[in-house]
Amino acid sequence: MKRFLRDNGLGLAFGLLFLGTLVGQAVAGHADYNHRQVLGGGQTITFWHFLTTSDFAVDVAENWQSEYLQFFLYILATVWLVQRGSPESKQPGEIGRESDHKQRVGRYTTKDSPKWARVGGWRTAVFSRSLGLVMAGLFLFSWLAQSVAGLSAYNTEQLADLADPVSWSDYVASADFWNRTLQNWQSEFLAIGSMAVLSVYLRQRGSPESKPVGTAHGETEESG
Amino acid sequence: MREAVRRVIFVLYLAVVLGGLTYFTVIGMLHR
Repeated sequence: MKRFLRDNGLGLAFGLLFLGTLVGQAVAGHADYNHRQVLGGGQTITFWHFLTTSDFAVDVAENWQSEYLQFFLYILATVWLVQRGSPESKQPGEIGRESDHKQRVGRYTTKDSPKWARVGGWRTAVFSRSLGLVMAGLFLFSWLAQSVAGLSAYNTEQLADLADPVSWSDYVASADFWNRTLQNWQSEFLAIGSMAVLSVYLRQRGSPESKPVGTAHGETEESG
Repeated sequence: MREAVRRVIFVLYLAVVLGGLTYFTVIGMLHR
Protein backbone atom coordinates (compact mmCIF):
# COMPACT_ATOMS: atom_id res chain seq x y z
CA MET A 1 0.00 0.00 0.00
CA LYS A 2 2.80 2.38 0.98
CA ARG A 3 4.63 1.56 -2.23
CA PHE A 4 1.44 2.03 -4.27
CA LEU A 5 0.99 5.54 -2.84
CA ARG A 6 4.65 6.45 -3.41
CA ASP A 7 4.72 5.16 -6.98
CA ASN A 8 1.52 6.93 -8.00
CA GLY A 9 1.69 10.11 -5.91
CA LEU A 10 1.27 12.59 -8.77
CA GLY A 11 -1.71 10.88 -10.41
CA LEU A 12 -3.47 10.24 -7.10
CA ALA A 13 -2.78 13.67 -5.55
CA PHE A 14 -3.96 15.61 -8.58
CA GLY A 15 -6.93 13.28 -9.08
CA LEU A 16 -8.07 13.99 -5.51
CA LEU A 17 -7.38 17.73 -5.87
CA PHE A 18 -9.47 17.69 -9.04
CA LEU A 19 -12.43 15.98 -7.35
CA GLY A 20 -12.23 18.27 -4.31
CA THR A 21 -12.11 21.47 -6.34
CA LEU A 22 -14.86 20.25 -8.70
CA VAL A 23 -17.13 19.80 -5.66
CA GLY A 24 -16.07 23.27 -4.48
CA GLN A 25 -16.92 24.75 -7.87
CA ALA A 26 -20.32 23.03 -7.80
CA VAL A 27 -21.11 24.38 -4.30
CA ALA A 28 -20.05 27.94 -5.16
CA GLY A 29 -21.71 27.76 -8.59
CA HIS A 30 -24.99 26.62 -7.00
CA ALA A 31 -24.92 29.49 -4.49
CA ASP A 32 -24.17 31.99 -7.26
CA TYR A 33 -26.92 30.55 -9.48
CA ASN A 34 -29.54 30.86 -6.73
CA HIS A 35 -28.32 34.36 -5.88
CA ARG A 36 -28.92 35.43 -9.48
CA GLN A 37 -32.30 33.69 -9.51
CA VAL A 38 -33.40 35.63 -6.41
CA LEU A 39 -32.20 38.95 -7.89
CA GLY A 40 -34.06 38.20 -11.13
CA GLY A 41 -37.25 37.14 -9.37
CA GLY A 42 -36.82 33.49 -10.44
CA GLN A 43 -37.07 30.26 -8.46
CA THR A 44 -34.11 28.79 -6.59
CA ILE A 45 -33.09 25.17 -7.27
CA THR A 46 -31.57 22.35 -5.20
CA PHE A 47 -27.87 21.45 -5.35
CA TRP A 48 -28.59 18.18 -7.20
CA HIS A 49 -30.75 20.00 -9.74
CA PHE A 50 -27.91 22.50 -10.28
CA LEU A 51 -25.58 19.62 -11.25
CA THR A 52 -27.90 18.88 -14.19
CA THR A 53 -28.02 22.48 -15.48
CA SER A 54 -26.16 23.61 -18.57
CA ASP A 55 -24.81 26.53 -16.49
CA PHE A 56 -22.72 24.07 -14.48
CA ALA A 57 -21.81 22.00 -17.57
CA VAL A 58 -20.53 24.93 -19.65
CA ASP A 59 -18.46 26.34 -16.78
CA VAL A 60 -16.64 23.03 -16.32
CA ALA A 61 -16.28 22.20 -20.05
CA GLU A 62 -14.84 25.59 -21.03
CA ASN A 63 -11.98 25.12 -18.58
CA TRP A 64 -11.34 21.52 -19.61
CA GLN A 65 -11.05 22.37 -23.31
CA SER A 66 -8.42 25.02 -22.72
CA GLU A 67 -6.32 22.67 -20.56
CA TYR A 68 -6.33 19.95 -23.21
CA LEU A 69 -5.58 22.51 -25.92
CA GLN A 70 -2.64 23.71 -23.81
CA PHE A 71 -1.16 20.24 -23.48
CA PHE A 72 -1.83 19.31 -27.10
CA LEU A 73 -0.09 22.45 -28.39
CA TYR A 74 2.75 22.11 -25.90
CA ILE A 75 3.37 18.48 -26.87
CA LEU A 76 3.34 19.37 -30.57
CA ALA A 77 5.17 22.72 -30.38
CA THR A 78 8.08 21.27 -28.39
CA VAL A 79 8.78 18.86 -31.27
CA TRP A 80 9.52 21.79 -33.60
CA LEU A 81 10.28 24.81 -31.39
CA VAL A 82 13.00 25.14 -28.77
CA GLN A 83 13.81 27.64 -26.02
CA ARG A 84 17.54 27.75 -25.35
CA GLY A 85 18.22 27.36 -21.63
CA SER A 86 14.77 26.00 -20.76
CA PRO A 87 14.33 22.56 -19.14
CA GLU A 88 10.99 22.37 -20.98
CA SER A 89 12.86 22.41 -24.29
CA LYS A 90 15.10 19.92 -26.04
CA GLN A 91 18.51 20.87 -27.41
CA PRO A 92 18.44 23.32 -30.35
CA GLY A 93 20.15 20.67 -32.52
CA GLU A 94 17.35 18.13 -32.01
CA ILE A 95 14.47 19.97 -33.68
CA GLY A 96 12.02 17.63 -35.40
CA ARG A 97 10.81 14.06 -34.92
CA GLU A 98 14.32 12.62 -34.32
CA SER A 99 15.85 9.36 -35.56
CA ASP A 100 14.40 5.86 -35.05
CA HIS A 101 17.51 5.08 -33.04
CA LYS A 102 16.97 7.94 -30.59
CA GLN A 103 13.23 7.19 -30.38
CA ARG A 104 13.82 3.44 -30.00
CA VAL A 105 11.34 2.35 -32.67
CA GLY A 106 11.45 -0.36 -35.35
CA ARG A 107 14.70 -2.33 -35.14
CA TYR A 108 15.98 -0.18 -32.27
CA THR A 109 13.34 -1.40 -29.79
CA THR A 110 14.37 -3.24 -26.63
CA LYS A 111 12.68 -6.34 -25.19
CA ASP A 112 10.67 -4.12 -22.82
CA SER A 113 9.46 -1.75 -25.57
CA PRO A 114 5.68 -1.54 -26.11
CA LYS A 115 4.52 -3.92 -28.87
CA TRP A 116 3.19 -1.10 -31.01
CA ALA A 117 6.63 0.57 -31.03
CA ARG A 118 8.13 -2.63 -32.47
CA VAL A 119 5.62 -3.84 -35.08
CA GLY A 120 6.01 -0.96 -37.56
CA GLY A 121 3.33 0.10 -40.05
CA TRP A 122 0.23 2.02 -39.04
CA ARG A 123 0.31 0.81 -35.44
CA THR A 124 3.76 2.31 -34.78
CA ALA A 125 2.73 5.45 -36.68
CA VAL A 126 -0.37 5.86 -34.47
CA PHE A 127 1.44 4.94 -31.23
CA SER A 128 4.21 7.45 -32.07
CA ARG A 129 1.55 10.20 -32.08
CA SER A 130 -0.86 8.79 -29.49
CA LEU A 131 -0.26 11.35 -26.72
CA GLY A 132 -0.88 14.30 -29.04
CA LEU A 133 -3.82 12.59 -30.76
CA VAL A 134 -5.60 11.84 -27.48
CA MET A 135 -4.99 15.37 -26.13
CA ALA A 136 -6.31 16.83 -29.43
CA GLY A 137 -9.34 14.52 -29.30
CA LEU A 138 -10.13 15.48 -25.71
CA PHE A 139 -9.73 19.16 -26.59
CA LEU A 140 -12.19 18.89 -29.51
CA PHE A 141 -14.68 16.86 -27.44
CA SER A 142 -14.47 19.39 -24.55
CA TRP A 143 -14.90 22.31 -26.95
CA LEU A 144 -17.94 20.60 -28.48
CA ALA A 145 -19.39 19.97 -25.00
CA GLN A 146 -18.76 23.64 -24.12
CA SER A 147 -20.58 24.77 -27.28
CA VAL A 148 -23.60 22.49 -26.74
CA ALA A 149 -23.97 23.26 -23.02
CA GLY A 150 -23.15 26.94 -23.65
CA LEU A 151 -25.89 27.15 -26.28
CA SER A 152 -28.41 25.73 -23.84
CA ALA A 153 -27.38 28.12 -21.04
CA TYR A 154 -27.35 31.06 -23.45
CA ASN A 155 -30.82 30.28 -24.78
CA THR A 156 -32.20 29.95 -21.25
CA GLU A 157 -31.03 33.52 -20.63
CA GLN A 158 -32.37 34.69 -23.98
CA LEU A 159 -35.82 33.31 -23.17
CA ALA A 160 -35.75 34.83 -19.68
CA ASP A 161 -34.99 38.19 -21.32
CA LEU A 162 -37.84 37.64 -23.82
CA ALA A 163 -35.34 37.40 -26.70
CA ASP A 164 -35.28 34.75 -29.45
CA PRO A 165 -33.20 31.59 -28.86
CA VAL A 166 -30.29 31.08 -31.28
CA SER A 167 -29.12 28.02 -33.25
CA TRP A 168 -25.87 26.10 -32.54
CA SER A 169 -24.20 27.61 -35.63
CA ASP A 170 -25.20 31.12 -34.52
CA TYR A 171 -23.95 30.40 -31.00
CA VAL A 172 -20.45 29.24 -32.06
CA ALA A 173 -20.07 32.58 -33.87
CA SER A 174 -21.40 34.55 -30.87
CA ALA A 175 -19.55 36.88 -28.52
CA ASP A 176 -20.56 34.71 -25.53
CA PHE A 177 -18.91 31.58 -26.99
CA TRP A 178 -15.69 33.35 -28.00
CA ASN A 179 -15.47 35.33 -24.77
CA ARG A 180 -15.67 32.08 -22.79
CA THR A 181 -13.17 30.40 -25.14
CA LEU A 182 -10.53 33.11 -25.48
CA GLN A 183 -10.48 34.08 -21.80
CA ASN A 184 -9.31 30.54 -21.10
CA TRP A 185 -6.89 30.28 -24.02
CA GLN A 186 -5.03 33.50 -23.22
CA SER A 187 -4.25 32.35 -19.69
CA GLU A 188 -3.02 28.96 -20.89
CA PHE A 189 -0.68 30.50 -23.45
CA LEU A 190 0.68 32.96 -20.89
CA ALA A 191 1.31 30.09 -18.47
CA ILE A 192 3.14 27.98 -21.08
CA GLY A 193 5.27 30.92 -22.22
CA SER A 194 6.05 31.84 -18.60
CA MET A 195 7.15 28.30 -17.81
CA ALA A 196 9.40 28.10 -20.88
CA VAL A 197 11.01 31.50 -20.29
CA LEU A 198 11.16 31.81 -16.47
CA SER A 199 12.75 28.37 -16.12
CA VAL A 200 15.78 29.60 -18.08
CA TYR A 201 16.93 31.78 -15.14
CA LEU A 202 15.02 30.33 -12.15
CA ARG A 203 15.41 26.93 -10.43
CA GLN A 204 13.42 24.58 -8.19
CA ARG A 205 15.72 22.11 -6.54
CA GLY A 206 14.54 18.51 -7.01
CA SER A 207 11.88 19.25 -9.62
CA PRO A 208 12.11 17.59 -13.04
CA GLU A 209 10.44 20.75 -14.38
CA SER A 210 13.60 22.68 -13.45
CA LYS A 211 17.24 22.43 -14.42
CA PRO A 212 19.63 21.37 -11.62
CA VAL A 213 20.32 24.44 -9.45
CA GLY A 214 23.93 24.84 -10.56
CA THR A 215 23.29 24.51 -14.30
CA ALA A 216 24.40 27.47 -16.43
CA HIS A 217 21.55 29.71 -17.60
CA GLY A 218 22.41 29.09 -21.26
CA GLU A 219 22.43 25.32 -20.93
CA THR A 220 19.33 23.52 -22.22
CA GLU A 221 18.74 20.53 -19.94
CA GLU A 222 15.78 18.24 -20.38
CA SER A 223 15.37 17.49 -16.69
CA GLY A 224 16.95 18.19 -13.34
CA MET B 1 0.83 -6.29 -10.47
CA ARG B 2 2.19 -2.74 -10.14
CA GLU B 3 1.82 -2.33 -13.90
CA ALA B 4 -1.83 -3.39 -13.60
CA VAL B 5 -2.44 -0.74 -10.91
CA ARG B 6 -0.95 2.00 -13.12
CA ARG B 7 -3.20 0.86 -15.95
CA VAL B 8 -6.23 1.13 -13.67
CA ILE B 9 -5.32 4.74 -12.82
CA PHE B 10 -4.80 5.48 -16.54
CA VAL B 11 -8.22 4.04 -17.43
CA LEU B 12 -9.85 5.87 -14.50
CA TYR B 13 -8.54 9.24 -15.70
CA LEU B 14 -9.80 8.64 -19.25
CA ALA B 15 -13.14 7.33 -17.97
CA VAL B 16 -13.71 10.39 -15.75
CA VAL B 17 -12.90 12.81 -18.58
CA LEU B 18 -14.85 11.00 -21.31
CA GLY B 19 -17.76 10.29 -18.94
CA GLY B 20 -17.85 13.91 -17.80
CA LEU B 21 -17.77 15.26 -21.34
CA THR B 22 -20.53 12.89 -22.45
CA TYR B 23 -22.62 14.00 -19.46
CA PHE B 24 -22.10 17.72 -20.22
CA THR B 25 -22.97 17.21 -23.91
CA VAL B 26 -26.14 15.29 -23.07
CA ILE B 27 -27.19 17.97 -20.55
CA GLY B 28 -26.71 20.62 -23.23
CA MET B 29 -28.68 18.63 -25.79
CA LEU B 30 -31.55 18.06 -23.36
CA HIS B 31 -31.75 21.86 -22.93
CA ARG B 32 -31.76 21.76 -19.16
